[in-house]
Amino acid sequence: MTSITLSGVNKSFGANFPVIRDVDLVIDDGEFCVFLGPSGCGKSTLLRMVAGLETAYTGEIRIGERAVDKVEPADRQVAMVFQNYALYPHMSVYDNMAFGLRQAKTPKDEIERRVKEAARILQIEPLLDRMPKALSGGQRQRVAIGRAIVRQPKVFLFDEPLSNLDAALRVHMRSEIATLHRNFPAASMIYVTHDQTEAMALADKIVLLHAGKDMLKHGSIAQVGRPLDLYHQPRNLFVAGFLGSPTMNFLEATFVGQEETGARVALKSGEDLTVPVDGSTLASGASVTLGVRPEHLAPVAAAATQTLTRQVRAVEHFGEYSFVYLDGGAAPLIAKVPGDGGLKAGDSASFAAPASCCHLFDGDGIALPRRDSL
Amino acid sequence: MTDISTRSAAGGAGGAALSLRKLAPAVFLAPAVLLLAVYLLYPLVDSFRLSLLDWNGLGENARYVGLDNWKKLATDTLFWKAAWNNILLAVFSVVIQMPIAVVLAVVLDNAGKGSRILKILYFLPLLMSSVALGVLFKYFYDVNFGPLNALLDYVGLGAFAQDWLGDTRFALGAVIAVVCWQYIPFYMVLFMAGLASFPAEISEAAKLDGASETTIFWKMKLPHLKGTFRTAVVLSVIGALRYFDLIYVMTGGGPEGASELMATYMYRNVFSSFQLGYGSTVASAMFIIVILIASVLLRFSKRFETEV
Repeated sequence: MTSITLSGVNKSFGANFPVIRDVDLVIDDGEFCVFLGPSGCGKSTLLRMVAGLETAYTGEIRIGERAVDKVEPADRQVAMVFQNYALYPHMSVYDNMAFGLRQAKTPKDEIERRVKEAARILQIEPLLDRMPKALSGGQRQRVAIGRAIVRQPKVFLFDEPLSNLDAALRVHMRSEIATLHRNFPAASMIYVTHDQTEAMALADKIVLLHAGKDMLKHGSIAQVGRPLDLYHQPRNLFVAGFLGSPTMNFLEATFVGQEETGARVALKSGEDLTVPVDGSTLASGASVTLGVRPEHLAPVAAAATQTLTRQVRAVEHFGEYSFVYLDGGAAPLIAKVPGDGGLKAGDSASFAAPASCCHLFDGDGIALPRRDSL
Repeated sequence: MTDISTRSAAGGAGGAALSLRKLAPAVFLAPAVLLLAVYLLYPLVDSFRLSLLDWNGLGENARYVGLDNWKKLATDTLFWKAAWNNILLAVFSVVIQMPIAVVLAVVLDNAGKGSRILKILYFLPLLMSSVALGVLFKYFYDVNFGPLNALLDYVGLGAFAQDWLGDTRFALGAVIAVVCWQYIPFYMVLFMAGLASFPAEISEAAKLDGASETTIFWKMKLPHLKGTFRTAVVLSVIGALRYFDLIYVMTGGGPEGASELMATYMYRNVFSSFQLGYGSTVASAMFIIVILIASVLLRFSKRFETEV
């Protein structure tokens, strides 16, 4: 059993600085769970609580069937990979990887077997005699992962392990961590990051965390679910705005009425759109927010129903796609279009906002229940 | 003609700018170089010049004696005794000060919030003037009225009461103890700074690996302090070889030269015996010895560091 259960977990730094609030979470056996959120949301703190490095909290943490709140870090059967690797600088790569096993009084030949096996998996066999200072960032990260692997833990904990690497190496190491998850299917993994790309690429489950006032008001957890669930069915404005790049377009609107196909809203810019959600709880004239992702705005030849017409302010070309910055409504919009989009600054352009890709949030920023599935 | 004159005028302006740029570092460095030259280089060179004279330093009766002072120094048992005492002071300074400073640094590093007052208390000796400390400890060691002997009496160890500063067997040891007491806080602060720079993540990684606090200290923190050790040892040895004020106040180098150091011996020759020439020879020899030992120490410690 390698599941992790957090029940009613709260933590404050001092009396007046709550960092974690009302966390109830289950990470299943062998699941790859990513803690995602903005800076200061407590994702690393939550990870460290699972590791046993943060002890002063209320609530209960279980690994498998065992409550580990009073268990020393070394006895929790967890291994952690730190953001800055935390390799022992005065020990060789071999000794770094063997250190934990030696502390556990593992027989010498078993230590050698495990270290060499981990080194083979991570392709760091030629580096075993080197000191950490003689390694590149990527090599250090592999050694840190190797140090975790040799202990054969129930739970792997990763605290922003790729954030010190350059972009190319980050993509490469990301795939290696995904491979590691496949190679150790029984172990649960918790991975902390603020990078939504890493979260979307790696996670079986994403736990998106609130920060600041949102955390105080709604608790730490904003939404838990599969990556595409969070992307397609964000529970609130925060989740909708956090996932996706560029961020989702938000347009202020007024609820006109509930129709058979969904809720009809009128934008301040004059357009009427229908969103396939249940707006029956809303009063006519209620303020709502329409959300539509830049990649879901498709250029069309002429204005029609369910379209938005705006003035092109600027176009950024990235080869495969372009970002089109639009002005003219009550709020600026961004559209992500294939290729160069055939648009230039100053053009007037219409974009279809397909009903199935639109989201509607009530006055409190809570998503209205969808009537379709994305 | 016009072309040539224009070109030469431009060349002249460019040349001036270039020479100004070259001159700038020299201009900025000049005040520091001047100060060093007046207060360091000139006295150094002049000491060597004076070491070739027989002169009391007062009149115009200086007499060039060549290397006579150096020959005298080579066979001067008092000087070599003083040099040996300096080496003893250096060795004991390192052997006593370093471990105690490390222990105090570790204790205070782990002491938490309440340690701030302790840190200030431990640092106090370093803030006191050596002369004041010398007077204080002269009283502390006093054979008749000193608190040390009184304390020994009080705890029933009166038989061990001594004339600490008046006995040739104990004088140097008694002074070394005070020197160590005075400078331990300095090295403690160095080691505390070293410990503060130890990454918390390494401790945490070691804890997850099952290491105890003791293991973390011996296998992680102590190796991390190697660079600090190197600095501390070099500073301690050089300081001990040049030491003067506390010894001068407490014993004046006595009794019978038992606590004589090169610096006190030099001072006595120049300002008590008015042998400026010979005193300068002692000062020059002291300079050479300090430079030699410091160079060896630095080279050795650098090799030690690269091996790490």
